[in-house]
Amino acid sequence: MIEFCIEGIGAIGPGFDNWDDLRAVLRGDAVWSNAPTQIPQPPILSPTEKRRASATVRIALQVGLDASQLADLEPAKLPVVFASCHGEVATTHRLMVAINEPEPLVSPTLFHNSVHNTPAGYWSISVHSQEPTSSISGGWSTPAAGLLKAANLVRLREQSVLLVFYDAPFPEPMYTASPYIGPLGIALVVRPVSSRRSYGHVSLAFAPETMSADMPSDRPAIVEEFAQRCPIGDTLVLLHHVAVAQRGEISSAIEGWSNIQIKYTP
Amino acid sequence: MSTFSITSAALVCATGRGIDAFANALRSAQSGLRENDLHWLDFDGVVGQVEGIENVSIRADLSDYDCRNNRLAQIALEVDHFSAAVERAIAKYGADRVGIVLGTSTSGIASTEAAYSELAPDGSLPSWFMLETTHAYNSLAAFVRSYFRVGGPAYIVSTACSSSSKAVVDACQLLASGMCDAVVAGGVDTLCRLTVQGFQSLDLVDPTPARPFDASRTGINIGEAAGFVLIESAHGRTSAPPPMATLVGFGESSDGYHMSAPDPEGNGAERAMADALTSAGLDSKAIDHIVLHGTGTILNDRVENAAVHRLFGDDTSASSYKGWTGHCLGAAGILGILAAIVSIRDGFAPASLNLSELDEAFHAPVLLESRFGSIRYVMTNSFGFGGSNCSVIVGPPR
Repeated sequence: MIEFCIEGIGAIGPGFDNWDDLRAVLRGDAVWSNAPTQIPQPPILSPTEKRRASATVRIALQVGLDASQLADLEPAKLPVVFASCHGEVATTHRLMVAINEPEPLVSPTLFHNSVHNTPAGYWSISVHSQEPTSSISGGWSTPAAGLLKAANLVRLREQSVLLVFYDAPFPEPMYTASPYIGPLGIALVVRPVSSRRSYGHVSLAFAPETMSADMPSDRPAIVEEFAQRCPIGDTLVLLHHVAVAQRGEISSAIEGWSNIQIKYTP
Repeated sequence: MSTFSITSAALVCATGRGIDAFANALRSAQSGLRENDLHWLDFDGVVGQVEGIENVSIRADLSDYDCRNNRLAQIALEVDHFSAAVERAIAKYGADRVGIVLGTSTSGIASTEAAYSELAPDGSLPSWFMLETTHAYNSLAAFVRSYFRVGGPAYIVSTACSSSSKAVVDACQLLASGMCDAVVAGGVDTLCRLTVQGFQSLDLVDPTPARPFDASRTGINIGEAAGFVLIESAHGRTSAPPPMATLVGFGESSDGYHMSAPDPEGNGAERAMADALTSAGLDSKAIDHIVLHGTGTILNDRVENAAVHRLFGDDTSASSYKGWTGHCLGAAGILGILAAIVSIRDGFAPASLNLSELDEAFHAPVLLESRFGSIRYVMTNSFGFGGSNCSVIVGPPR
């Protein structure tokens, strides 16, 4: 069994700009407006990068900063796992168009900003960090993959780790080929189990038989929507448990691998 | 640190199908690079192309995954008795105890490039384009997972040129934490217009065979490759045949400097190598050979030389394999690890190809002639875009 405690949370999505906003919606204390996601301008980006950075880079960096701040930890000291299903969707689209022009002209900046680890690169540069980062994708199981990778990293390094999930819908025409909702960014600072369990405890274990899910009785619409229609939307299943302080086995409610059991305890 | 056994491996790249084809090419100094003849790639110059991908039929039940990248993956799964080894692991541990972590930088994007060239009048993509099973990063992991019908965790690491080294590191973490008993790790990347034109736009491509660490080097050649290893914890490994090598140390770091140029001081690269030594409990003197990232760019080679010399002085030997295969991007890391395995197995370290005059400013112990002798511990380096650094130390089988 591997495990971690959650020490900080960042959240940006349709109708919420931070964890406080999202928690209120998840608890039913506030109505979900589903207003378009406000793409942030992370203060750590240089003026040039503020102009050029994609929505996904900006969201990933901002939720990472927000989670670090809530955890009261210096961003530069954290190893980071970036987990996204499709990564730099807008940049990739622009390059696909550029490559198919009669006279193809690929911008060098656009090219090096199309790699899946673009947010990771800008994070390290902007917070001045040499800590290792990784950038992974598990398709629509990206939430499970991110939780698994972060838990393994916490176990190995015995220190706090920042875990950043993000995805934005493809622009057309790829949107029609794989439609989903967003943009959404969720960040967790996670650390080895200790007496400080600000936002609760997550464990992962290989379990040959899964137990039935302990689901909070009223799963809010925002969780249903995102779990079904966003590749990283299953992070809201976990955050719903955190918001209402309900223990439960979340793995049977999320897209993952049937024998990896993920449990939350407040 | 725990160690991990590599119990099987497979490789397909420009030198042909199989690890022995690669080893023979290294020993005979026979490069796999040749003039590009793929008209759709729109490139004049040498590439590290794999022959015959166009003629591959994806297994019928996996037809949704059909794209160049997954075809190359399938070719590699069918060489070097790799599939048989994975099936043995499934039989021993159970399908749910076998995981998959693979690296790729562009996945099936060549299909996306083609799809965008066939837009309908209303701007929509052709109906044959299947984004989630070809373009998507995770398509490679999902394909391999479906190929073997395994049920353990599966995901992709995509960190540019360090992807498949980091995938190997992650695989070991899954074993160490008890989540899996065996993991298929490695990576696949294939030729596409995006990387050819992208690297050209950065002035990093040499249309002639690249010359890593040479005074007159001007850039990389792009290649494609698929490399796989089956990794098991040292204690739990299936009994026969004997393992090929042991993974003994890992180091990862970020440059925090620039997206496409390495930190000129090489501090991130040095830290990744130093951390790998620490995790292996090895002194720099224990490393018999270094498989360099060695791409042939002015900057990478300069920075890597400086970092290697600072850590190792004159105490080891170093070379690049990329003159044989080209720079295979997301598969570069696993190729380096497989080159290390060949060196350990054969007691042979090749000098880099096309190295006629070492850059006079370089003091790292770069091999000018190939050497034979006992090689036990090999360090492999992968330094990628975004300043993603990963060093993996490979040791003899235990």
